Amino acid sequence: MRPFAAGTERDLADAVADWARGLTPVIAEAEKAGAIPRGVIADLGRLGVLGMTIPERDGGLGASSVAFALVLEELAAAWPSLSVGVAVNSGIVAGTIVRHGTAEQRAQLLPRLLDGIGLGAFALTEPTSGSDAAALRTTARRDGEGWRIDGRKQFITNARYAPFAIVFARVGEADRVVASRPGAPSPAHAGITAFVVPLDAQGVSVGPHERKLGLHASDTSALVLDGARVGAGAVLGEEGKGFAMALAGLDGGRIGIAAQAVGIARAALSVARAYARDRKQFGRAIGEFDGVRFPLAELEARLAAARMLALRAAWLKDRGRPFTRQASMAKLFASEMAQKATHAAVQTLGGNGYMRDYAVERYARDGRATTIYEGTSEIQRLVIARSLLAA
Amino acid sequence: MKILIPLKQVPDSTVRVSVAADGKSIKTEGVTWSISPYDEYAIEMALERKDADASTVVAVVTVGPARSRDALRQALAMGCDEASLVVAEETAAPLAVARALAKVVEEAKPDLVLCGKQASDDDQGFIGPALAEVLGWAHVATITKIVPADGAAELWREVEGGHEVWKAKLPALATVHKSEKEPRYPSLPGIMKAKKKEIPERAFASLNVDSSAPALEIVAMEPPPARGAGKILKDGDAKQTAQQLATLLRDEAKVL
Amino acid sequence: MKILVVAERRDGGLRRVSLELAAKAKALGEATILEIAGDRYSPLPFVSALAKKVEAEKPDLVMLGATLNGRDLGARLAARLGRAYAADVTALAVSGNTLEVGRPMYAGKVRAKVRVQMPAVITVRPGAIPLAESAASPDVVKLEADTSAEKLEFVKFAPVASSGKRVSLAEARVIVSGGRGLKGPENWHLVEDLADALGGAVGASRAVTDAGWRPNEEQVGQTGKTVTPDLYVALGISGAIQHLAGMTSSKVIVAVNKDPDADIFKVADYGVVADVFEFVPAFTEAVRKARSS
Repeated sequence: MRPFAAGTERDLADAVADWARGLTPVIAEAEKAGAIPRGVIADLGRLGVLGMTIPERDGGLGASSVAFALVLEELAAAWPSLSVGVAVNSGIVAGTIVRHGTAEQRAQLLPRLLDGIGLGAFALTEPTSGSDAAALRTTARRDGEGWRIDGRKQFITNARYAPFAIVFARVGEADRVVASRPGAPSPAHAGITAFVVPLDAQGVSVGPHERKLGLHASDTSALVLDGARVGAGAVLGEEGKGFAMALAGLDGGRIGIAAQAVGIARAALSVARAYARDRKQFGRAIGEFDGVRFPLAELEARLAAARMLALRAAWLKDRGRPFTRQASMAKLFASEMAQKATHAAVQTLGGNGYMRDYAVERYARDGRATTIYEGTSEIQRLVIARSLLAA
Repeated sequence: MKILIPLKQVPDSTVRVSVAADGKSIKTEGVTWSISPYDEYAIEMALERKDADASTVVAVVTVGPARSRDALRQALAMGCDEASLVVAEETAAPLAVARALAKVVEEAKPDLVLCGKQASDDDQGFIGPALAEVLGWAHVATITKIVPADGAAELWREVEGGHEVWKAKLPALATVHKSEKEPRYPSLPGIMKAKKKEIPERAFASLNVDSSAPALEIVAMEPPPARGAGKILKDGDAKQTAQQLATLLRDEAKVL
Repeated sequence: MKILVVAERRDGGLRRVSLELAAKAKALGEATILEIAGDRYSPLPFVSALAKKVEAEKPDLVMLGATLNGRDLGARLAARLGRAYAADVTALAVSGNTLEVGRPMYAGKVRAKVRVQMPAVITVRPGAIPLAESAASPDVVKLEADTSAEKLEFVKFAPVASSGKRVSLAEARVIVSGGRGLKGPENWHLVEDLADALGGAVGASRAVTDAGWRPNEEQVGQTGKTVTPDLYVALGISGAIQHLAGMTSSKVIVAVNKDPDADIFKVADYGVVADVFEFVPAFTEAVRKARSS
């Protein structure tokens, strides 16, 4: 069931699902090695997945948000670590450049997001600013024709694979960080500006690969900007408008995380279902016990609901209608559902579920991130409540 | 160079096949259909030629029921240039299908016809050699590589212990065992492009081919005999288990 | 009834499948065992000579081995003569003027019983017909290939380094196949040593040939070779449906795998849940002893 999706969108997702089925043999090794094989990224480029959100005039496919959500669901169902990298590259980074880039920036940057050589990065979070993103401390100062950027970005997806990162930094007095109050408009975001920073620019380095609970093959690293030098053309969009750009990027990204949570839950439940049918205890298939089958039934219903929420948000986005609240609702519901679904899958498999030989423990660990990144569940509630109660 | 590939749509190799209630056909409800695997190799082989020489034209054709259109669409999405469909009942006699394909070949005038070595439904492997026979062409069976050679092609054929290399003047026909690379996945832009392409269609009868052919009648189908539950040896020390297995194979199974 | 068997030779002697066909043909009626003489198989010279012979002698049934060349020649012959054709037959029975054959379809996932109108051409799968050890070598009539019909030019034979003295996979009575569980081509001596101890051929799963660990010609399965040995030993093979399609007709199947839930165990007569690296050397040793005693 794929509501809100047309034939073409389903065909694109099916094609990606076909390809992704072939990944199975490489996943265990890649998760252990903590890296996505370059060949897999190259394949994604060749298949046109990386460029699917980029308009045709910019060399991409110009596929809809609905198609992209379906594709992310398929990628996540096969390999969550891979879907994160694609969501960031093709969703948030490409989306931000398409919306705010000049013709020159689009021509220069977008081909590098779809060539399959690397995956772009989005550098907003810092050690002292997570949910309160406006409190970022990275600074950008004019330096001759260009800019000098100083600061430390944390938990940056794809940092190791990225040809460039979109880095959010504050232009102006470096120390004027005003503590912001949750939910209140505050001057804290003043001066925040988006910059395109090539990873090979002078003064840019990547910190060690973070060791995480899950998503081991997805790269999460710090990005250190120590007097990083970029040219005048590095400013993306308007100076000082970076915070609104970041939030807009995250709105779209939340649809992607919702789709990812749906894919993870679907894959885990499918393993659980097969196991419940095959595994016999007390002389019967364990799926005949209500204690096993009722949670699976309950979660199947929630899974379908989560997918509908995600696709509805994507559908609204495709039509240029407001979708911030719907994206947050989808992300909140789908990611929380994925926790229950993956844990139920582990429980269904019992001791086997706890073992590395079965994929469900990985889905449970990988899925755990979905309630955290691109805005925690608490932040989603905040966004929903704010939009709900605004008169 | 123009390459024509007659392909067939068959149940996907990953699906379980089960016998229908009539006891002499397979259940088609819920079956996922795909291009027959050896035909996919043929397509990949042709597309590799096209990658090397962009002037290469790759066309596909199928003689089959209307649902075969999806397989043609899939071939276009992989990168083939043209596709056409001859709508026929699945019960058309194989020799008549070869005659119909020969008509298509005569119209399309390809330099090379590539057929999968067999379709993984009936697994007969008849159409390739039969089509060459109807056309009066030479053919090389079960090839794994094509090297173009000025008005001819070197066709590599996997045999025990190595490859035989045959040179065929064009036009020629070959049946394909495998391509050097795995068949490519359709790219997303390929899928979009394929959707916009016309797939001309005509009825089998409109080709006016002689449909007389010797009869081959399936009278029954059954799943392969189920294998009885085997013995499982586990938890033993490797040496003991090895000894136990060797003894079982010698004394019980009598295969040593 | 008149039967013509087209025999094939390998390394000087008749192929085992040709002996099987000869035995079956003699049991069915008046049999002629024919061998086409030529430097090497090529469709047109072979089919041209054979078709003339068939038209002159009018056998009710032409039987060939379902080998690489037999299947090719059989199909083209049937098309030339407009005879009914059934490939890769695993069982056959004649009653009156009706030939009924059993043959696998859908890559071995289904067995079909097919009524074939005679006169007919069939190819028969190696190993499908039981052969008494005492079977005498049949008299063979030679037929010259019709080289005037040739349109192809033979360029060369390019040998593959790896394949050597071992028996051919399609006809081997014992096959030892390796899968991904062996972790890399450097561990193939485990498979080869066991195959040598058993006097068998070496096969591989598709994952292995796709990864380039072993040559394509060793692949057993739906897009590789379909085999029916007396003993099939699967080492570190999980048992994907494509692989099972190529080997489930083996008489005895042994599977060694670490994962007790591997699908290969569903078809195994003897399943060993063990680490291949520990178990296989011990088993090879035990086989050597069992065979020498």
